[in-house]
Amino acid sequence: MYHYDRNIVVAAYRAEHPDRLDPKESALRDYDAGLFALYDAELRQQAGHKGIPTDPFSLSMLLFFATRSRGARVDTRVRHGCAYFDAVRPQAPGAVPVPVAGGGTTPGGG
Amino acid sequence: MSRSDVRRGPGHLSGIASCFAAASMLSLAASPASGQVEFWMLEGRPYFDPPAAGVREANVAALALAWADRVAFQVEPDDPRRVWDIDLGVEMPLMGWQSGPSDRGRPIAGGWGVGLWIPVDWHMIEDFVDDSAPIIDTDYRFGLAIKAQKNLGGGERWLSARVYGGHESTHLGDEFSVVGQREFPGTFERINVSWEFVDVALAFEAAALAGLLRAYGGATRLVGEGGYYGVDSNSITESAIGPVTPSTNRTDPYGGLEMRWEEVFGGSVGWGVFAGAELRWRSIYDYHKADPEAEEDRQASINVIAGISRTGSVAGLGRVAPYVRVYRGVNPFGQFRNQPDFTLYGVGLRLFR
Repeated sequence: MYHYDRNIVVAAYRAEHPDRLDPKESALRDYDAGLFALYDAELRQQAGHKGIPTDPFSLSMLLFFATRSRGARVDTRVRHGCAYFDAVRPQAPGAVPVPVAGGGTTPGGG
Repeated sequence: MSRSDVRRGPGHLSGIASCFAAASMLSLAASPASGQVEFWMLEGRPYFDPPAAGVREANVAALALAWADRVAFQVEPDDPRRVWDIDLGVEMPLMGWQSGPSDRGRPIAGGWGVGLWIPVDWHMIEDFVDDSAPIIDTDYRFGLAIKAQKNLGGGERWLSARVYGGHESTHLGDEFSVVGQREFPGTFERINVSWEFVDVALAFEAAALAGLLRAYGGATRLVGEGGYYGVDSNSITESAIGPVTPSTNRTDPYGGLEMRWEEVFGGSVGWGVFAGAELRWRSIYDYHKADPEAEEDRQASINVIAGISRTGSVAGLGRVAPYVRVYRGVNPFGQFRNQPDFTLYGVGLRLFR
């Protein structure tokens, strides 16, 4: 049983260990448990304060963004993760991505 | 990779790997219940990064606008005087093992890591007052370091250790030496400060005081039969003053504190503040002791740095961080370690990882 979405755990693991693209299941479970111990309380606290859903998938995405931050402390990394999460999630159901310079899209407000 | 794989190890590395056997076995006893042991090589892990306020650590820093007290054999009387103090160092990771998962290279969930590094560093001071702006002294250090780290309790607390065996070689600048011999024929001396050491240190790191705290302490011990410097012309030591007496002290203890606060101003992904201080109970070399067996005096020598650095994304060498530095105590440069009450201060740039 994983604490976070397994696919996102795999993605985070590969980002942390770019030389191990096919980790054993036991390594993934250890990694998931380690991330849970290190991040989960801070993830839930900051997500709650910022109005970010705490369903498993949202927390998993938030976790992935946090692990990619260059902050030194967990709270800084989670804060960065929340900023990234807010920047990429649709603001309301049915939101239409808004074109941005360069031809890409960004989630728009409803 | 299973534990049995790790113990077997790649054949061509087995010789070096044997150096780790004792430490690894000790650490295995403390590994998490389900933690797998992974072998890593040639990629750094932040088990015991060089202390930022360490005067002879493998940091990269340029104290470009600086002043220092006058040292022996400088021609002009200016005191203090404009100098540069440049540090250029790196620790090259070789290989190691880590139990269980990691985050940003650090062990988490109670895991541990141990590895082998080759530290190489170089430290130079240049004077801007005498003619030709001579380099006064350059110190080189290199060796082999075993570093280990244990995550405590699964959160943001780590205990780290470092055992570093190395050699230090110090050199007067050529222009400085030529002019010194010409201007001070009756007193000029060239002391070959060159020695081998073992440095043992422990560090505790934790998220604390709204930042990241590191407290550390250790000792640098001279190894081998000789002292800190040669005493005759066979060892490239020459003195117009008279016979050079050998050094007697063998161990200098030290301790330090570092704090790093992120996003202090400038908003998210803005600027952070770092500060560090290291206190070392330095020996004051005495090249002409009345009693050759006497121990050298000591002086508590403190190095304090503080600066700002970006908190945001970073790659490659690290962040370039403006900083200020104040040093007070025994002159840390080569043969000038016979000079107490030496002050160096200034501003510059350093790489901050």
